[in-house]
Amino acid sequence: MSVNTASTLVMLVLGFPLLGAALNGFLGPVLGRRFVNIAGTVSIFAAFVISCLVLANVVGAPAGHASITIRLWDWINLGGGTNLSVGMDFTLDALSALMLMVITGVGFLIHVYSVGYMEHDPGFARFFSYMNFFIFSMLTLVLAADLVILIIGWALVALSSYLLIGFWYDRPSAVLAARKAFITQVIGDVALVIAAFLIVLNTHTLSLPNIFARTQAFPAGGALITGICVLLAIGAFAKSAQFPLHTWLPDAMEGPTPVSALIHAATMVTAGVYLIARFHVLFNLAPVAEGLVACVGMGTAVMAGIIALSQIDIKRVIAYSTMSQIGLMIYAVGIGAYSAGMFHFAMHAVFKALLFMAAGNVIHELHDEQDIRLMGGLHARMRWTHLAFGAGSLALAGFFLFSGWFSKEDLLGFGTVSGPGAAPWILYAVGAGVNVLTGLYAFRLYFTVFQGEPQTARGFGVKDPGYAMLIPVVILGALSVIVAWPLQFPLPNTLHVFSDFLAPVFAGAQSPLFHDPSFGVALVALVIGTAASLVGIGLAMRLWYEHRPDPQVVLSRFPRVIPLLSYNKFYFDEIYDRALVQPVKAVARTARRVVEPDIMDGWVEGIGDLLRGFSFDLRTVQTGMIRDYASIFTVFAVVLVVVWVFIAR
Amino acid sequence: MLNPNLFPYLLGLAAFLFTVGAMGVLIRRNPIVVFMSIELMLNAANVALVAYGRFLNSEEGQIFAFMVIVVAAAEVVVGLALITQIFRLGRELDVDDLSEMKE
Repeated sequence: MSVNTASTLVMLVLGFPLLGAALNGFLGPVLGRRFVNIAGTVSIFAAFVISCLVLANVVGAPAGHASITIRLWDWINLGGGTNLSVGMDFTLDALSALMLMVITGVGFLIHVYSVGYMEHDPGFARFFSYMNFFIFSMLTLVLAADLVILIIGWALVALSSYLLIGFWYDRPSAVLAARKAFITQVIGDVALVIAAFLIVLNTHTLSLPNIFARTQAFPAGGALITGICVLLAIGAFAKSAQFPLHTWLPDAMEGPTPVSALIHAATMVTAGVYLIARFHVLFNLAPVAEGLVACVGMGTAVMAGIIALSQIDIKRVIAYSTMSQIGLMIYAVGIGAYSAGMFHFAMHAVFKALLFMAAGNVIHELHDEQDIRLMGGLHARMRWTHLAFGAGSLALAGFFLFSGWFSKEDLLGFGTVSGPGAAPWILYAVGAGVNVLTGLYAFRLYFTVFQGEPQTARGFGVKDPGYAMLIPVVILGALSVIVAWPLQFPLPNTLHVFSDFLAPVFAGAQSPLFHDPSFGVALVALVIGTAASLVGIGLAMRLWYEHRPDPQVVLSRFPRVIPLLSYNKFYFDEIYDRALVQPVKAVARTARRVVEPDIMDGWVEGIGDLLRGFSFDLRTVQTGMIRDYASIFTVFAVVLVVVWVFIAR
Repeated sequence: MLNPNLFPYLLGLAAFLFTVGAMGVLIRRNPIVVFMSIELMLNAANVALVAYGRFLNSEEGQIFAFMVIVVAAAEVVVGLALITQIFRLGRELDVDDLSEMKE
């Protein structure tokens, strides 16, 4: 791939969505719905075509030349001997090509779906403008080869997410959710920016390839590199909704469902996984940070899985399942199994976008009903949606030969041997537990929503939606069955097209935690993991297929503390409210009551009072009597003469 | 030729006249008397100017004295006009009473 080709491709792939955002934003309200539908989807389809060209170029490149970094133009040249410049630098390699394919491919289908979903919404132009802009931001983030550009993309996706969560700005809950998401993102942004400062201070460059080369000189496991990696990880946790910065993701479901599918399932929330994979050479030098990442990922996977068991809002269940699956990806990149993490990201993007859109169909048909206790029995009346949702649930639960099975077992297989001492086995056991949990919550949702009998009158009148909303769901449903087949098999020395494709990106460095499992170990892990998924699905079938109508009753069989923690989401919102929000509010109230009137106003008005009092006193000198003035004049004249004659001379 | 020893006495006379004038301005409340006192101060200055001119053998002292006389005449014109106007308004001729300008 020549520099010219790469530059053209980058310009086009970024240009189309940005053009779409501009056209829809400025002209959309004038030119109407048809124009917006076409401009919004075609711009992303064009980006998808370009992404395919990028992929072809990367695959077709001779070995060792698959990665190219280009500079479109110099943006900021600091000069002055610092030799520091911010360039419009972009990288095209296997990792960014994969991200491009997923973002534009799944993104395009979701845009098509949005045409149907937003059919009756008056804000359609604004919606498509924001969605196109999100695609542009996300592509900037994954293509960036300069730290500043990366951070700009990182912040712009948070902005798009904020705008889209708060899309229905007349709903107070949506506005609050948007604010919460943005504030949590900013916590991560701050950590990322501090990490960037540390990197620039110690490597004197902003270009990512140079950073990766120069950080190799840092002492492995040193405080500096560990600090940088922990800060990067905090940024990733905020973006990817990992403990303890996870509370914004369920609230983000206030946005329109296509937004949940695109931003809060398929793409943006996996940016943290991408960040760690992109900075893997740094993480490889900091085993402590890697261990932290792996433990937080697995911990979040378990926690979110338990919470998903008792939520009653269909979108929130899927949101917690997203959190749980991203936890697994974070765990994978934490132990150094980068290809496996990215593989799960790609598979997850397909089946999770599908689940959200199928859930969107259900919500749409039931006239914005999101409570799963009021659903049920939709399988006969929404045949295609039901089939697709079923396929997505099987993929999510990791049912044998569905896409999620390949990626999740691949990921857990590496987990059996990667890490010190007994840690891999403990984490693997927890991972198998997550498989059980996944099967449980995925099929609790499936059985409650689609099987049994309708719980409301509306449930009898549903049907599959129009083509715009159905075709993307069916395509993704088919993909979530077959997409993994030609790509990867979760055993060593078998089919490894996907990891071979990504191998050049991760070839430079190996994580000290990472080990390849032997065939036998991997096989045992595979069997246990598959069995765990089946156990989960089977349990769900026993519990929720036979015990309709109330999905909550089943939980009462567990020890009381589990349903309590699960239903209340481990009380994180309450804890943050008590520990952070209320104290801040109390400080603000005190400041308003005491600091503002007594201190701030105090000294401002004090100066005024002082001057007024002084001038009031001074005014008495002006008696208006000529003789007084003459006296003063005379006295000072005498004083002047005396001073001049006796002192100054 | 005047006796040079007289010079301190002339200056003393000027200082005495000036002091008397100044005290008159400060103490008396009748504007006409105040004006007379001001004339006294101006003429004390004239005595000093002429004495210096004489003893320093320079014409400038006398020229200055003439200037002062001219200015004093102009000042008296303005001042007496003001006093006449105040009198016509039916007000008491008392400088302490004329203090409205302070507000």
